[in-house]
Amino acid sequence: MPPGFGRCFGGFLFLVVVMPTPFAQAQGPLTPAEQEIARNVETASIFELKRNPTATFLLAKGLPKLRETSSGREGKSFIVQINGVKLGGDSDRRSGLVIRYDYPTGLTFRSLVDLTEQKLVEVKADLNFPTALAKEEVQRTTELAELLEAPWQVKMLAVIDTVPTSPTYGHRLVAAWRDVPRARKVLVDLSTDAVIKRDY
Amino acid sequence: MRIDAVYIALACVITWSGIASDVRTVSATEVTQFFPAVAPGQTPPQPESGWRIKYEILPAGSHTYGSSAVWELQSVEFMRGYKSGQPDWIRILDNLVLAEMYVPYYDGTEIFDIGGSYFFNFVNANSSYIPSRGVISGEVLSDGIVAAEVADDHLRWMDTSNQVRRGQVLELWATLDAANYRYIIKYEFSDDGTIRARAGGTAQNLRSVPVGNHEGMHLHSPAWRLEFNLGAPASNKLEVVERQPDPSSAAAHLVHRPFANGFEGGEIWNAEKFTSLMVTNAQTMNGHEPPHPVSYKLVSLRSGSLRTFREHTRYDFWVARANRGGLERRFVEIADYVRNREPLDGYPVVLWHSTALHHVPRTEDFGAKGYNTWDGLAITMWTGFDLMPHNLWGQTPLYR
Repeated sequence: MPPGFGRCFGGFLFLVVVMPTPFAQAQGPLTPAEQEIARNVETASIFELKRNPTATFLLAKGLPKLRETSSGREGKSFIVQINGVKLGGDSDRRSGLVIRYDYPTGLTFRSLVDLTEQKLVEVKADLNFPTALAKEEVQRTTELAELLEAPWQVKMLAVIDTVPTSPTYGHRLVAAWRDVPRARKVLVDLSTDAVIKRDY
Repeated sequence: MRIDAVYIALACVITWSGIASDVRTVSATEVTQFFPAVAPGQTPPQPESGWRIKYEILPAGSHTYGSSAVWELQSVEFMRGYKSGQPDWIRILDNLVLAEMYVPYYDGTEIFDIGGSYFFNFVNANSSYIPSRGVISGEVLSDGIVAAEVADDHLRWMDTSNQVRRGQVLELWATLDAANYRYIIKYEFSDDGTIRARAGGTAQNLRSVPVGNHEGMHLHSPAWRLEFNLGAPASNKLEVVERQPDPSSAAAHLVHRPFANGFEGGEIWNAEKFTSLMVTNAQTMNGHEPPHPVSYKLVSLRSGSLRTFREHTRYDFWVARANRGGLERRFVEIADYVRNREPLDGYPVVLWHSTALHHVPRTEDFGAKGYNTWDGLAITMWTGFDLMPHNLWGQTPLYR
C-alpha cells in the first residue's frame, strides 16, 4: 500500500464539510445593507426608465393590452429576487442582480446594480421571461385561490402562456393548490386578479 | 500522509438572507471514494482508481442560475492509478450543474422548474432512500440532501478467455421538490473514469386530464452547465465529433471539427451522425507510449430533441466563454451570452447541454378509475449524458 492510503481510508466513502470556494465567496450572498442598496437603485432606475422616452425600445417588448388589466391599471410591480454577482471576470467589485416582474407591461426587468458606485449598470427586459413569484404575489395567490393555510401548506408555480392568440397570453398565471391529497389545483391570473380555472 | 490532509474537516456554515424565503444555510461538501470498494468493516485493497468531488447545495433564491435550488459540483477529480508511485489525480471538471428543467406543454404553456417558476428546494433525504441490500455501502450525506451509494456496476470487461472484472460505481443523487414533480438528479462516478449525469422525472402530473388529451402532454428538458478543467482550462480544445457515412457503401469516416467553427454558439445533436463533443487538453498527456493528450467525450442519451419558439432550444449544445461573474448562468438566456460570437481559442469555456423526456400520460400515471393525478404517480423516466474518458488512461483500465 503506497504512502497516503491509511487502512481506514482505503475502500470507503469519505465525507468532509469544507470551506466554500473563493469563487463562491466572491459571488456570495449580499448583506442586508447591500440588498437595500440594490433595491433602492433598481427601484429608482425602473421608475426613471418608465418615464424616459429613449427607453421605448425596452418597454416596446411589453404587451400593451396588459395595461388594461386590473393589476396593470394599478401599476403593480414587484421585486422577485436579488442576488450578488461579480461585475466582470477579474473584478472583485460587488454588484447586485435585481429581478422584477412588472404588470403594466408583462415584462421581467433584470437590473445589474454596481453596489460600490450605487448606480445601474445595465437593464434587460423580456416578455414571458421565467420569473418566480414575489412574496406579494404568493400572498395574493393564496387569497384568490382561497388557500388560507400557512404558505408551507400550499404548493404553487408560475405558468407562462406562450400562445399569442390565447386570452391569457403574457399574463401572470399561477397554479396553486393545498398540499393535501385530492386537493384541486386552481389556476390564478394575477394580471386580472381572478381565478380562471378551479380544476386546472 | 499528504493525502490524509485532505480529510481534515473544516466545517463552515454561512447564512443567507433571501427575498423570498427565510435564512438558509450554505455549506460545501467533499466526497472521496476509492475503488475497489468493500463493504464497511472489510479491509480494502490498494486503490486502483478514485474520485474526489466537491459540491455545494445552493438554496433557492441564493444564486443566479435561476430561482430554485441547484446542486453545484465545483470540483471533480479522478485518480487514474499511480504515477511515480504516487496517486495520479487529474481535475476533470470545475463546474457541473443541472441548471434548468424546462417543461413545455402541448397547449403552449410553460414551466421553468429551476429558472423561474418558483423557489423550489431539495427534498431532505432519509435512510429509507438507501437500499438495505444490493449496494456495497450507502448513506445520506451530512447536508441531509445528497445520498451516496457505492454499488456493483456489472461487467467492466470480459476477455477472450471469458474472465471478467466487475465494475463499481459511486452514485450521488438528490431530489428537487418541484411542487407536484420530483426531479431526481444523479451523478454516477465509475471506477474507469466515466461520469454519467442523469435527470429523472417522477411524482404527480400537474393536470388531471384524460389519457390522450393534449393538455396533459409535455416534455421535461433538463440542461446541464459544465466547465472542464483537464489541467489547464484555457487550453482546452472543443470539437464536434461525427460519423460521416459514405452513402455508396458501408464505409464511413470520423470527422473532428471545431465547435461552432471555433466561436461562441451552438450545435445540434444529429442521430444519424452519432454527434458527440470532445474536450481535449494538449498540455495534459497520458502515460501511453507514445503519449496522447487527455480528452473527455460527451455522449448524449436522448430519445429526441426539443424545439420551441425559445432561442435556447435552437441547439442541443451551447458554448460560451467562462468568467462572467455569475451573469451567464441562466440557460434561457444562453443565446444572449453567445450573441457576440467571441472566439473560443485560448479561453476557458462553459458548455451547456440539454436533453429531453417526452411525457405522454398513460393510465399507469393514474389510479384505477378516472384521471385524478392524486390517485397515481408518473413512474420515473430518465435522460442525461455520459462523460467518457478518451485517452485519459495510458492503457486499458482495471485490466493488468
